[in-house]
Amino acid sequence: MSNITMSKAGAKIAMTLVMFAIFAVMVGVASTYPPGARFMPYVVGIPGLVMCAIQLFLDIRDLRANARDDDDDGKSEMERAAEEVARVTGRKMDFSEAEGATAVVVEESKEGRGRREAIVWASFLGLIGGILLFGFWIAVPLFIGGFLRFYAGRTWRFSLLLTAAATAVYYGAFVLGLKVVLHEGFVIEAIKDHFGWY
Amino acid sequence: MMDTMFSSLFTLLTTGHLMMLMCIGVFIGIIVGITPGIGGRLSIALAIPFVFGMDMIAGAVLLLTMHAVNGTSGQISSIMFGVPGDGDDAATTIDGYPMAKKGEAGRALGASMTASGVGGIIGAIVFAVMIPVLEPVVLAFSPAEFFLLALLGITFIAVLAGGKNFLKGIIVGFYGMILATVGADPATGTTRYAGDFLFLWDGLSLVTAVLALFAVPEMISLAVKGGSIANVGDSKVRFSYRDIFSGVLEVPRNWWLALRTSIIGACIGMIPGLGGSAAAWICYGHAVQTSKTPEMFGKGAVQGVIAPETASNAKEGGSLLPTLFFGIPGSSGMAVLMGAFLILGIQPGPTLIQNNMNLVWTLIWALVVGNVIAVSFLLFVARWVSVLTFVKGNLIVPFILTMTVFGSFINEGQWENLVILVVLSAVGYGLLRFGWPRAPFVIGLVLGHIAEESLNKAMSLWGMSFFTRPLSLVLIGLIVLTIGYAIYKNRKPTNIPSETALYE
Repeated sequence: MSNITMSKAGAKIAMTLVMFAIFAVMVGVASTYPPGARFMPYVVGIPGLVMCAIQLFLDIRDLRANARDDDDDGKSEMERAAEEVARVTGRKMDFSEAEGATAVVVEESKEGRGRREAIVWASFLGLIGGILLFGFWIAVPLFIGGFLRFYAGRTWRFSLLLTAAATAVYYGAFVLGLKVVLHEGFVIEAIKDHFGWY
Repeated sequence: MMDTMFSSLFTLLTTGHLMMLMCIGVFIGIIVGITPGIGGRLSIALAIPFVFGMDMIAGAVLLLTMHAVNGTSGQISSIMFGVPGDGDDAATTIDGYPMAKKGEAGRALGASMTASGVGGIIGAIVFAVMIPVLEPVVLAFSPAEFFLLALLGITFIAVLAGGKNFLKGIIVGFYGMILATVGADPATGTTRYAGDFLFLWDGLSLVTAVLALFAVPEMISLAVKGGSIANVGDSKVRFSYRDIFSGVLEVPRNWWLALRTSIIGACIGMIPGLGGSAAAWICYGHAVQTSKTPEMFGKGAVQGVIAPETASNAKEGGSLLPTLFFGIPGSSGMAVLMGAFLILGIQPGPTLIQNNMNLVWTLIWALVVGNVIAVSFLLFVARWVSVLTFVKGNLIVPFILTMTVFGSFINEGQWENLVILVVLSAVGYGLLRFGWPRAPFVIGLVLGHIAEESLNKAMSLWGMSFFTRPLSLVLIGLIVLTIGYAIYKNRKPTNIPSETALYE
């Protein structure tokens, strides 16, 4: 079994374990509640635990059997579609005309996927952290501009233009339109408190 | 009934803000349908914060119109560039794209859009016709049966969305249900899993949870995958309004096929678990079987465009039926839509029939009018909106992510929801990354409260004998049959991909 298959299967088992842990913790915490309050968490949580255990068994069995999860049989999508329609209608179908699109789907390479994943997650966490500390009107434009410029690789001009447009739309929609009071950020609030700006 | 039926139509057409919301819904639905990376479910999830606090009818009309016209624009890229927007459009590609290659893109687009609109309208009519038939069945359910209905809903959607991973689907559904218990227990008043966090005493924010499970993981995944649909240009993908009009006329020319496939599509929509791609493929097969020239299919037969398009849009009307009357969503998109309906205060089941038929009829008319607006609009702008197909995924991500964050915050105005958003997004991303279906989570979360209330009520009224009541036995039987069917289906090899595979 290749290392890639092993790590993929291992990650799948890890996800099942996460779900098992969530149910276990929730059932465990529920056991401290009075009978009426713990009834529903038990009704849902205990079967949830049992199903996670079964899933775990299935994952381990798949790992041992070196099962592949995708249905990659080397056939194109159109060949599989032709087979399916042929099965239903009893006629031999040929969908080769629909192959070879004028538009081509350009996929980015699978290499460096982990790095890209980490960057996107860090950006998202940065957005949330930025909002909590500095508020929406600082964090959101910074996130949009930064993402477009550094991750999507757009020019400064394009990124700034789109950021300004998006910020204006958000301001118009949420502040002027929906009259929402947005979070100002703990740092900004502290500064305002300190200097007595309200 | 006739009074309610026509007064709803009159109110819909004469109320300015409802018509405006419907036009907005149509516009957003079309944009979402054609832009790669934003599915119908995601658009509903993103729209939930904006309908929060809206009048029940207005919010429902906006969301349903958005959802219903989504598929109408999805076929543009299938026909013009051979790139299906989602699973529903794959069948349209088989004849639509060869037509475009032969220089008949306009005819194919005219036929597919009109067929889609006709399908949507007939689907709504089928729904309307079924109301008097199903009314006594729905009214036979007491609120106490809702617990089993919720379990049935989770089982159905888990089988639909999970395919061979249906057990994972059920686990995710139960995960949603257990999260629904966060907050004050309705019977004893004990706060569960909330600790000292006051904001959790009312339970988890549904909007935040739905956004965390759907919007954030999909956007992060889109950003990580990157990629785009690149236009390499083709002189054959040019057409005039005359070509489009000739395609429009193909639908009345093939009216008998359009009618049959619409009805089949609507009926398939009523069966939770079959989904839109099944409707499209089954009707494509039906068109081949009943055609006098089956050898033309796959080479640019206009009937091969009409059949899947009528079916996939007609199924929306059909799938609204189990969603509204039984609380069992007919598709994963309907699962998110049902969550949104519950947030708006629309309670599926007998109470809807008894007290809110006005709303039901308004929704039926919204499907009809929304489809008419969408088709009329698309026939004129199809050639221009098709450029949206080439929008690079990375350009959409920052805007959708920030919209998600705004949405999570504004519905309750609490910053703590942003922290919850991050935590649940991590779980949601794990589910997406490792092929766990996420649609059952919404059902579990939105029906969790009702299910708990219903179970408490049933247990206090009948004790354990609740499970031996005839209707309960029927529901338990259906749950067992669904699981049995899923196991049987998984042992038998099939080529039809699950919705997880199609969407994720």
